Amino acid sequence: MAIRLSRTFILRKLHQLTGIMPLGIFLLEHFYTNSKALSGPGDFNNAVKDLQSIPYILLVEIGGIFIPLIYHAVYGLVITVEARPNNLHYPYARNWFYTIQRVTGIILFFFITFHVLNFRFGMIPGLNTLSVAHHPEQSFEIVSREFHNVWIFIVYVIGITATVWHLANGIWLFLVDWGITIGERAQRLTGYACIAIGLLLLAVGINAAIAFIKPGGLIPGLM
Amino acid sequence: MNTVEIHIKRREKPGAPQHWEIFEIPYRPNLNVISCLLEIRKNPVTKSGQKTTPPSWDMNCLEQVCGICTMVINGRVRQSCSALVDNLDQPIKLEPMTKFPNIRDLVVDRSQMFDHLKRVHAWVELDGTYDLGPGPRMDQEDVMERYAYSRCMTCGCCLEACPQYDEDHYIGPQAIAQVRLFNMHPSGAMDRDERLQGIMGDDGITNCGNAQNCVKACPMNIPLTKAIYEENRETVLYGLLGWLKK
Amino acid sequence: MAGIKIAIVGGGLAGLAAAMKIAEAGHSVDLFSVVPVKRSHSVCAQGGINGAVNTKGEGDSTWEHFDDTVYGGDFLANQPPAKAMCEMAPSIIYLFDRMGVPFSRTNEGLLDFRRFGGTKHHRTAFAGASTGQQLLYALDEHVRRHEVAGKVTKYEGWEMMSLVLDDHQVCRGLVAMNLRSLELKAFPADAVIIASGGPGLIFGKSTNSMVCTGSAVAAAYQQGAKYANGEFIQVHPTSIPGEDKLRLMSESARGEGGRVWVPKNKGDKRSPSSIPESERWYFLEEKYPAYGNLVPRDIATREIFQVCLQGMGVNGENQVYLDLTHIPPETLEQKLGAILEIYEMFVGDDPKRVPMRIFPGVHYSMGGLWVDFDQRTNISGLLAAGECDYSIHGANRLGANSLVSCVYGGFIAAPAAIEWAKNVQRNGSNGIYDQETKRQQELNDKLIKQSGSENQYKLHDEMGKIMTDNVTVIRYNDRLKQTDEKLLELTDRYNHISINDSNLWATMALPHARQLKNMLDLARVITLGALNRNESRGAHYKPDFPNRDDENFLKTTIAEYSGEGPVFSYEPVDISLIPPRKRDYSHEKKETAKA
Repeated sequence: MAIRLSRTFILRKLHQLTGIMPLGIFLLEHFYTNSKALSGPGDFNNAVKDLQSIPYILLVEIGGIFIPLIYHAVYGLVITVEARPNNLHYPYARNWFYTIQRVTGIILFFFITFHVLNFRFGMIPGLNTLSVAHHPEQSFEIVSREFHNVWIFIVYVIGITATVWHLANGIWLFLVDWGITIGERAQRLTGYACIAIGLLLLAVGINAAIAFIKPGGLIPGLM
Repeated sequence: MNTVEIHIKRREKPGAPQHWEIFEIPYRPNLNVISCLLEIRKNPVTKSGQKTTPPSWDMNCLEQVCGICTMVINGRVRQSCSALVDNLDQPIKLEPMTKFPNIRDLVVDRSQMFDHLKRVHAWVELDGTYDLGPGPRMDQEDVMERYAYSRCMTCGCCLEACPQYDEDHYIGPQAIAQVRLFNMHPSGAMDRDERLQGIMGDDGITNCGNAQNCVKACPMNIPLTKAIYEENRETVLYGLLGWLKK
Repeated sequence: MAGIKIAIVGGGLAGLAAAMKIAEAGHSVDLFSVVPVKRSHSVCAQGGINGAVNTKGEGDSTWEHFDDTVYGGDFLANQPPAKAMCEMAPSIIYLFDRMGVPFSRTNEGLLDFRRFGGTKHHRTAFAGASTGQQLLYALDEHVRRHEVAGKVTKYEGWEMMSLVLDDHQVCRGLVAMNLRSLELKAFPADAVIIASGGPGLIFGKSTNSMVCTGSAVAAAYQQGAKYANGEFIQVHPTSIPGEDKLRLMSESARGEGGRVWVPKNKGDKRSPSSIPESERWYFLEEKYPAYGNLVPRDIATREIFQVCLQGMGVNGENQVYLDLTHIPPETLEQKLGAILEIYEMFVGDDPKRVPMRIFPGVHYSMGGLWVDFDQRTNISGLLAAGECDYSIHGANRLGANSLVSCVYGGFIAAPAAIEWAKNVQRNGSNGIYDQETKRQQELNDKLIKQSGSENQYKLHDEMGKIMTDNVTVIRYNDRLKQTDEKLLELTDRYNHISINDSNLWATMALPHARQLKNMLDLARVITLGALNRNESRGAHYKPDFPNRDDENFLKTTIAEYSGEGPVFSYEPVDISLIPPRKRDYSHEKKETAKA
């Protein structure tokens, strides 16, 4: 018999999928570009310039990032509204992960909104009014100047941590939601793998951020 | 300790406000929560000496196989027959399950769970009950996996503990595990798509949030998350990607 | 003829089996159950279901199963229905197999069978150690299928209070009470099948579920249905004593090799594992070398009871060891997991490591509503099936025969009810329904209004205690007489109870009060039936009359209700197929030629 797909089913599957692709993939690219800062402002600025020279960049940005991002964020909030967390009575790891996934989602909603307005569009008066995309040659300086403000830097550390958590746990969720990981042992092993991915991404993400205030990152000359 | 203090969340009838009442009964070894309730109903007087109505609750097998006596005990959902006083912190707090309509005191109406079973086509479509000889041969390993799912007593612990289940907008682990049970059976598999349809609606399997409380709360140790993920795979393969075969 | 409607009281195996057959035949069913049918007492059956499928190369046959059943029942069973059941048993197992019951398998993927009491054959198909649960769920699923198709209407949370009989004593339906609103309503039906299970709660604590009050049966009895062989109450040898009930420890524990023993030295306080083999008394194996631990239940129960009476019980208490510790834990987990979990959950010890401590507990009623070979009671239009009828098991039921007899009963009752319904003349009078509903309402109102000093739950406790003390394993006539006097006293005091719940919405008190009266009536049937039967047969044992007395008592006890108490008569047993012979489990059973 032909199976009819319900609205919710399609929306949820899209939500699960957009989290990994394109958003997860984009995050990897983003961290890669950020990490160019480790070898100096010139490399980073060039990387930003390269990105801007991608053909059809506007379409890629809108179709590949903004639309999926807005969909994932808004529908994520819809899902979050349905949650009835009960961690105090059922204090299991996965139940905490469940709640944290939603909390990080809310954090990300605000953090990414701020981050995009801040750097991509340069629309936060009093903080930054230069769009990195339109001034790639100044991009390192724009970021670096802001990161020297401790509060902004803390906001970014929190934002990066939340993002990494949300993605690492999101990968695990994708694996089970799409029926790739099934059994208990597989759940456990993929869980460890996701923790490893998360720790690695966290190190890369934070180190790149540090590179904007301390040349070469946390341990200069490591690479 | 020579007494047992029991707090019961009372409700006179649907819609009436809930309130707590405190009871105290003499301690005996091997008491379970049901024995305490039986003792209280004989002479329903609160700890402070106030005469009250006896609490109502559901009970039947008292061996944790019928599932009827499920309630929230000290904050956690479980069967009251297998809740031994010696293993519980006092005072013992008894509340009705919160995810189902509360009829009176500790009694709830779980008929929505049985409705879910209807929707997921939780049976093997027999040609008839007349004699057609034995069923298909099966591997004992598959049988044991099916047996685990087949032990579900529709008690509702999984739904009560599930942070995604509220107001009946999620079909829930129990129904999904039954889909798995029947999709694993050689004859049952013939109606696979009907069952998948049942769990792919707006309140379907995608509402699972992977908090995995269900598998922890399940008194029968049913691998509920495994069932959900198996069905995630089936819904992706036959539901989402089914059109690719056409 | 279109439009046949049959009411079924009880949603256990027998009731659901009948409902499925009737719905399949295209007729309508109203199904009444005190609890949601999936929570019926059948879920408690553990060990398995018998059927002579003979897949173990043991030369088993349905005749052999029949002979074991009749021999095990000490020749009190009418033989034709017992034979018919044994012949249907393999096809019943196959049907459940097709329905998807996860029966355990052999290496070839065939059905596996285990041994049970009272037979030398591997004849018991099993799904782990929760076979009853699995079979009930299979029927529940199929009845749900018919419910979706509109053939079955469930009235869960409704209790049958009485039958509706017309002027010619023909059953025209029933009156049921909604257990939340206490609303009484008459349900017309062309035939009624009672499949309400056993009356274990009469004994207070038993292995039965809390719905097993026998109340619906008692109501039918009060309205003229005959009750047969009430005195035959099976006490299961192995149960786990508890504060609220006696939890069953399945016979399959012995079927899989479990051994019953006590320390040879009275008062030996050592832990069981430190008692050497030579100082253990395996009394069943010693006394019954041919069957050992798998003697029928009445015999095992009596032996355990006697051992404890002699003070030989573990720690001098009423308990003996049921030992599985010599069996590999993986085997136990696979074959007995569910019941071992129950033990560990309620006692705290792991039976894979520590021998279980068990004691006999009231378990099953062989007696019940009198039915003919088509499950019809003496009231036209009223049928009965399952534990609540008296057929099949005689004086003692063999383990794993109950599941098969329940399904058999349902499968026979269904076509018989349809047959009756097709031919019955419907009379148009609605008066009988209103009249019966009014009568029941008056009974309720009286209970609600009266204010006496007696407490219904205390009366129930007293009844349970005296019945357990005097009308179970060992029976003496003087104590039976005392019991009946006590029951009369309790019946009198019952008129002075007051319902202690001023909130009548979803109250437990009024339904219990109604059940209590019915239980008291059945308790007298059981007690007086036992008093009248001066012999020992199957589960009925009187030390003063230690032998079976075929000359005087190879007959079915029949009790009929009267205002002054049960009136007894007797009916010959149909022994047309196997002539009665002495029952002796210390030796191999003598082969019987096919008649």
